[in-house]
Amino acid sequence: MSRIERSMIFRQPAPARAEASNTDPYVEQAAARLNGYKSTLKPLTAEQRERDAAIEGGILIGRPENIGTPIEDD
Amino acid sequence: MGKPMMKATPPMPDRSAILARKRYQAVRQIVYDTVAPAIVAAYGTEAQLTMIGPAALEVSREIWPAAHGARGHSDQFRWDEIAHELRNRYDRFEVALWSGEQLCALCAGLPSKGPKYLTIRFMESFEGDHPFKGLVAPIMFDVANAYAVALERQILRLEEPVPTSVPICEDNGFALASEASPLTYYERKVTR
Repeated sequence: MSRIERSMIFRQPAPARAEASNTDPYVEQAAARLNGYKSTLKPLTAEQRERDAAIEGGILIGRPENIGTPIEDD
Repeated sequence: MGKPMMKATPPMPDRSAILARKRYQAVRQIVYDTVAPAIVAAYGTEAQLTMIGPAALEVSREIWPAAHGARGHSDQFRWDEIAHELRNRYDRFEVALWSGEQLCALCAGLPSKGPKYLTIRFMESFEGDHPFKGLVAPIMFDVANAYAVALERQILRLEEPVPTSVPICEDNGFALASEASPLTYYERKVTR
């Protein structure tokens, strides 16, 4: 795959947020709930990030054999 | 001469299904737009959050395997299958984490039908080097937390975290769920 081809496929269509949200009260309510959202992200210490970088890579959550299995619901 | 063959016509898409698909797409986009600036604020690195679309699937299929095994992991997800499985759950949780043109991680899950859970079922990060190495899990947790806020779910749940990632999960506030289940779940309260 050439670089140009790659850059083409990497371009994601930007979903038109306004297109759906302006006419759907459910979306407007969801947006309102996120207004002022307090992120859970916190800075990591260098040691933490080094440890997590060593762990990360590949599957972090889930099992391949669970694809297609029903979820336990509440 | 026999009767002319009737050509099978595909079923007309149901209007309510189209609306639901657009509705949740819009909500996910609001979540992406909400969390992306928080990533820059916390880690100083620009991130793009998108749906798991054809581009992400192609990278996971054609580019990620080249780096597979670099860290001794034996399994990889087939994200095409995950996307196929979840395609009709319009309220699904999904996110692709990009740095420019590099796909760094993918994550998917489902909200419960009731008001309780958003469950992350699948999370995988690129095994090669990328700018979010060591930061993937907290970023994905934050995106999922924001989606849970948008959908008014109370608990963020992880289904079967791999044993090596449990310390990361615990550092991010998750604890082993006490209820008896054949599957292992970690969970934390959704924060607003």
